[in-house]
Amino acid sequence: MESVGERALRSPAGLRARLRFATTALAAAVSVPRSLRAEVRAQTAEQLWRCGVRQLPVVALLGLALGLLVVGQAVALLRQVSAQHYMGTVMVTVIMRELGPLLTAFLLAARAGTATVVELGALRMTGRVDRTEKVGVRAMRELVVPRLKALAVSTFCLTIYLIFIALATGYVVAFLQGVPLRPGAYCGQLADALHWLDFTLVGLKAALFGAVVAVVSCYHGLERLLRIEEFSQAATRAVVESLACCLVLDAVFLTGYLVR
Amino acid sequence: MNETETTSRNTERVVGVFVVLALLLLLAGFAYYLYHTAERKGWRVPRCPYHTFVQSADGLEVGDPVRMMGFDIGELTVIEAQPPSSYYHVFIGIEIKRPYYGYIWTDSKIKVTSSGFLGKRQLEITKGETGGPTVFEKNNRISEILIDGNPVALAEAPKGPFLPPDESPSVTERAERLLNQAEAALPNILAVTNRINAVLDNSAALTSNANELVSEVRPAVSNVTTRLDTTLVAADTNLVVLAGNLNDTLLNLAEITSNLNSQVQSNDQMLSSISRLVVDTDNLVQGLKKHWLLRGVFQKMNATNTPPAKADGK
Repeated sequence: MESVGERALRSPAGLRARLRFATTALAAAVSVPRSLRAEVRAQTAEQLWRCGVRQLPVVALLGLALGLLVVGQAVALLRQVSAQHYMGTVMVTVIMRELGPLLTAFLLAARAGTATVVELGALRMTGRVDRTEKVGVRAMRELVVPRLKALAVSTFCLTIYLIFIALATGYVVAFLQGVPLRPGAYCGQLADALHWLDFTLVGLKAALFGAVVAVVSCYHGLERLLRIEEFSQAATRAVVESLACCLVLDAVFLTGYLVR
Repeated sequence: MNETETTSRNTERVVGVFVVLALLLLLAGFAYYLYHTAERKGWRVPRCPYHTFVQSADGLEVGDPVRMMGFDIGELTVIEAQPPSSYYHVFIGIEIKRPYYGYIWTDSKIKVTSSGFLGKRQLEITKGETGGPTVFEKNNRISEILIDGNPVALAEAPKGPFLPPDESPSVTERAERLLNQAEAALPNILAVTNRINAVLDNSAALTSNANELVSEVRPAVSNVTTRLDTTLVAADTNLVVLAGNLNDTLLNLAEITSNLNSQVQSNDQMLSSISRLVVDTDNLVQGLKKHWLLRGVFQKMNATNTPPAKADGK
């Protein structure tokens, strides 16, 4: 009970600290001095390589599994009620609007977020980031901004790859299950179920999820000087907080969809 | 250029491909979506306006599809209330895509039918059968439309040709009407129910009486059955005796027949003996005729005897 009470008392301050960190990071991201741009760009490319390109095989695997499971189950259910023509709607609603961005963000939180926490924590522990003070603007620009940009762009790109792979796998699964659906008709169903806002919202959602994962991971890596035994706890906390923030953000987007 | 810079350049190139490919995929998806939506909504095909009037706009919305022969052929574009003095209450404007306006003739009608269970209604146009076309094209463009039987330019009649409505109420309205009818019919139904109740009571009494009757009739039926049983047993016995006698008679008859058969065979032998006797006697007589002592006698008998008379008297 005491720990619950202590956490409840501490949570507003923690929330304020996180928000302050996020706003500082965003401000630093939009105001990078000319002298630092080349370095930030190189760092961003490096992070994009690690958080984006190298995660592509896992995302492809996830997309295959998603298409296989969602369509496999959906087709089996829809065929029972002779409603195969709703397959496109199911795919768009489940994969494009919801699971695509969310699963990509979860994956990056687990793979890139934890790596970021450990990396930044190690940098601070070894003294390459100021050990005594709060994180300075320079460190923010050199360490946080590249990761923020890279994770936002990576999540955006990987979400698109995941959606395309899942949709393609979905068609193959439907074809193998004997659903009389031509590729053109399938694409037509998808297009019928889509709205122009979907393209904007999916991209925006994915980029925001990536930014949230980046900010939360960087915050937990740089928040304070970590001891060796605290690294795993910090990484776990970063993943859980990232997932929670993504879910809250997803609920906000869902409200947007429903209001539309 | 050192190795680190080369690696960095390669990394940037791969990252660039990674990002550009994702963007291209998204743009390709969006382009296909735009293309498909344009195809579906007929953005690139000419449209012809038509109008009609209905009594209620209930269940109709701007943008609803108009159907014909199972196809979405256009959409509802205008729903406006008419002035209070107007016979019809609501003006409905629609736009029909090419080539479907070619199927709409002067005898086509707009049917307003219920769609779904949520009070939704839809417009369905019947294909022309006996009339004439309502739209005329020249150079792949609508040149004239038929208004009151006269062809006029499309710009002069922006509302388009009038199509007579065939309006059916929505499901909710029909359900309400059905409920009202059911309520109105309820007293009659109750009266019928009362009558059925009385009939059922009478049937119950009838069944009770029939039951009593059956219990009364049961002894008499039992006696008759017993007597019938006795009579049948006696008849059975007599029949058995009769059958035995008949059997004896038939056996005697068979014996008589057998005797008669043997008698007939004996008679047959007797007749053959007589025949042989006659032949022998004839041989004897022929022998006697040739004997020297009696030859003369037989010759005299042949001379004195007159030949037998012939039938025609010759």
